[in-house]
Amino acid sequence: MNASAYELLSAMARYWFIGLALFILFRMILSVTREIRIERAVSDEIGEMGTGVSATLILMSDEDRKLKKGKMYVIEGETTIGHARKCDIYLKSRSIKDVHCILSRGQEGLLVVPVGNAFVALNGVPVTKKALANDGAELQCGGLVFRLRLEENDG
Amino acid sequence: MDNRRKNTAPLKKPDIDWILLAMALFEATAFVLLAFYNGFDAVALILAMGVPMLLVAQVLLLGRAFPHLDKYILTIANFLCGIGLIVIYRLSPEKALKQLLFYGVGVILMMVMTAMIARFRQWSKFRIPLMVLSIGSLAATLVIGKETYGAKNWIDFGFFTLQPSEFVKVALILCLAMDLSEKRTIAQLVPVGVFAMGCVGLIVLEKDLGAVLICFLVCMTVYYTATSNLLLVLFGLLGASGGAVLMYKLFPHVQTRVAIWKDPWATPEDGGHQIVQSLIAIASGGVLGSGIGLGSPNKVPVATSDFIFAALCEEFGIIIGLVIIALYAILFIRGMLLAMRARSSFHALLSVGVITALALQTFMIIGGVIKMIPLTGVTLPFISYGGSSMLSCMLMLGILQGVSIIVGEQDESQWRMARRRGESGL
Amino acid sequence: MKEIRKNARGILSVILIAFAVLSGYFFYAIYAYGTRWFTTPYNTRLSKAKSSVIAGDILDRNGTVLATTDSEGTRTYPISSDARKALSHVIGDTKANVPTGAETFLSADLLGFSSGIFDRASQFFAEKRRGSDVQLTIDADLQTYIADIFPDEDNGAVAVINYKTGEVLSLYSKPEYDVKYPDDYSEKEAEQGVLINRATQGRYAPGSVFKIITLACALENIPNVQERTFDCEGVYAVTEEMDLKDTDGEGHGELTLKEAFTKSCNIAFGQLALELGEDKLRATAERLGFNGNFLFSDLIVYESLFPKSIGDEGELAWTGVGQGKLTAVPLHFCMIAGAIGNDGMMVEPQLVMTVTDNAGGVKNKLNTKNYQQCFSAEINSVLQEYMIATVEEGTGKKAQVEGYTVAGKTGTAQVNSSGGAYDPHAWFVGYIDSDDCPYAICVVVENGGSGGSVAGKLAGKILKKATEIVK
Repeated sequence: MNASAYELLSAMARYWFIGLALFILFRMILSVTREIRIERAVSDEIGEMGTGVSATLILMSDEDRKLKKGKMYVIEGETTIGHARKCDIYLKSRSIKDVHCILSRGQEGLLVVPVGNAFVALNGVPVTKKALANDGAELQCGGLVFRLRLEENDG
Repeated sequence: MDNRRKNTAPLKKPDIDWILLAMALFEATAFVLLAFYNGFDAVALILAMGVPMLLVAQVLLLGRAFPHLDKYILTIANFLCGIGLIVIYRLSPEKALKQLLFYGVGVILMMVMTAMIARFRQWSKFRIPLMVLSIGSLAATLVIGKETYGAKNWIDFGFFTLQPSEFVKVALILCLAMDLSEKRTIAQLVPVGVFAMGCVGLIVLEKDLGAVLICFLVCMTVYYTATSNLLLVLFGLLGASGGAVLMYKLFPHVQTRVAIWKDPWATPEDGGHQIVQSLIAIASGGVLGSGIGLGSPNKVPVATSDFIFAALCEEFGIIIGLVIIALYAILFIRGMLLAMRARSSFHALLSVGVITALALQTFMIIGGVIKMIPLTGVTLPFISYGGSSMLSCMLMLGILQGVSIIVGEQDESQWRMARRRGESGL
Repeated sequence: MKEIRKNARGILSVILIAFAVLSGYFFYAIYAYGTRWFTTPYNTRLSKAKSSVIAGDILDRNGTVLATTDSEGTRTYPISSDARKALSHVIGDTKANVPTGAETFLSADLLGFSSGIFDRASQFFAEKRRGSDVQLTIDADLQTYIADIFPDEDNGAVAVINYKTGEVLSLYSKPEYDVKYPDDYSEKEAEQGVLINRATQGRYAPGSVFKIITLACALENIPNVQERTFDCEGVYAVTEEMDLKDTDGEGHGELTLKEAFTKSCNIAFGQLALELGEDKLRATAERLGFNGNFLFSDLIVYESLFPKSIGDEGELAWTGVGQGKLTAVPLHFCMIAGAIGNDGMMVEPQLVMTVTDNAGGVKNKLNTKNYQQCFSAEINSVLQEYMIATVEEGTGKKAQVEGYTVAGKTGTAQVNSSGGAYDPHAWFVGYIDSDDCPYAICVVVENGGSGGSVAGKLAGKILKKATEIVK
């Protein structure tokens, strides 16, 4: 191919490339926004039906007697418990640290990880690093005692 | 059967076949043009078939095998790799073939990483080996490393040169996410903190400013995400600024960099040469670009790696430059959405770390090339020539894909459960 | 997880903002500086293109070909040698000795870097590709006339623009050189800066023409300043060491503000400057483009400078009358005068009229862009009144043009160079108050003597010629 033919071709191809690039971009934006809508709809549906819950904590007793007995706390995915407002479950109790412990739902049960030197006990046994809780277990955080309800997860 | 279809309907993702087709056409035409540039080049014609196929096959096959893979991230990353290959091939066909090899190895590494993140549970077993390996490789670089452009950040293996700081970035993100997902108090974070500071310190000694900045800011961002401890982060940033000022005062080469950034035209033939030529190249291309083969991107120094954005803008035009910036932005949005959908902090923090690292790197090099910020020698993710950079980007891509699979599976199972309960409840 | 989600969203916002800024800056930088970057001497693409592409023609506003490429590929200038010299800084040369000339600064068009596919297709069988033809807004005849009547022994600059559209009619700079022999100038001329376009890049002490700005600032900031009277005894002691003097030192007696302006009384304006203070004066000057950054698309214009800090009161008083550390660029002052003629609106100067490619496509490049509303309507009308009075009965009488109302201000700028005493620079800035001939002018004659008799006279002749020949 001679040089001037190549030049003409390449100069024309610029518009082709720009057209394709803009098409890719717009189509991408379109698909991504649609995908995000679908994802949001799915998570809404999970939340709305209220059965996305895989674990609940029921408050059994409170040292300070400030919190109401029998109150239910829902654990969705990974959950932080603490005194700070940023926590997923935030408990106004003096015996609870800012971020007291992290709970996460695993295949085998609920994983309990205390943060720092916060006092956490499972069925009366203090937890130092981490522990796995099963259905019906008694979880003590500071001066609060909870009963754990785990629902069967169909993985 | 009906029931099942109804069950899966909302989970059906929009298809991206048209995007894939457009991308494949883009890459194919570019390589066909390159084949006829300066005579006839059969290799380029093979690439015109091969590179789009690599993209399409990857997205379709992997998408089939793992339905919860984030196809957008995968498509964008591969398209960027393809564009990189085109620009590199235009500048130096030998380098492009090497890059193609790295790209191929990168894809395999990405799949391995994806599978590991998605299926492997005992990550804490890797914690100590990762840390030791990172510190060890950085220390080794300091001892036996090779110095290029003022930074001593390469290990030469003869047939292959390695830049350990690129991989340390990935290890750092993994370790940070592991520790921060379970530990939140400062006392608990001492080991990982020491590790991170050690890495940053060693890279400072290597004088690799770009990598220092990325590692440091990634640490800060991931730490902030996990703990919301803004005070400490601000304190850290303040300390870093202090350190930067100190470095500016102490090291003359930092001063020259800043002076070059302020006015590259003062020293257009020595210090400011790179940026001056980069700006000239971008301006010469203009909005539409000069057309493939019609510009002179080879006038830009290190056009295949650090300054590839300038070379790209010259021949493809500023519009495509902006489209590429937008594609990066979409990739980051998708990645961050993964972090927001994740159910465990480990996965969320992984995504945040990876996205921060990629975004910082992209911002720093494009900003440097267009003289918005002082130039720090980092590569443009997925596009720039360089084995270490390509492989580490692919590893990070693998992390994102792994998180995506986990998030998608959890979404689906929860959604199914919710659906079933809802139906049985009716 | 709640807080992690929140933080992730925050970080995403930061990233997206950073990328939006990045794209914005990218676009802005190319838009504003693209041509400047492209035409630097370090762009080796240009010299490469010069050997492989036939450069297009440069024409003036009447279609006169100023520069063309002959069949052998050499650049020729089919105009008289006087015209070549008169237009030297506008045309520039192929060696880019004057990098702001059209040959270099407009090379994206001339060398076909911006050619479209139709242009390329039309030349498919041509041996060598040819760039586009560029028509300038310059009137070659007017500029040759200016060169002809400019004092032989003095250097200087003249800028003439159409203040309504921004078209630059003339940009004359002396010493000149011959674009046909770009390296052929004497050592003395080189020392004097023969390769600098003084009309766009010369920075002179403005002298009394700066009183326009002091006046505008006073009208804006001092209530009822027009009713004031000033007592001028020829000398006024600002500080112990610094006296403010009038040129002749005899004193104007009692003056109104208008008289002070038309007679160009230093005492009155020095006092006004002292009353206004440095900050207000600087604010007005900067609004008019001083210390700014002109990014016009067709030509590079340096901005005039107002000192960043003024030492003492004496210096402030002298700044108010256009001395001190002030510097002024002729085309910029031409634009300021034009703004007063154009009801206070300053328009951007434009040098390129049309670009014609080889496929016959004509791109009209003239589109008037407003740079800045400089003065409010009331203040502008006062400025107009005073400037007209200056030409009718004040220092600018010699600039009158029969049949037209001319407004203007003269300046006689003292230059204290280390080399010893020089004659002052003679300045005239002004405009024709007419809808048919909306021309603004700025004349600077270096060491030419009195502004009124030298520059004013020259301006009158040039404006008269412009009304006759410019279409």
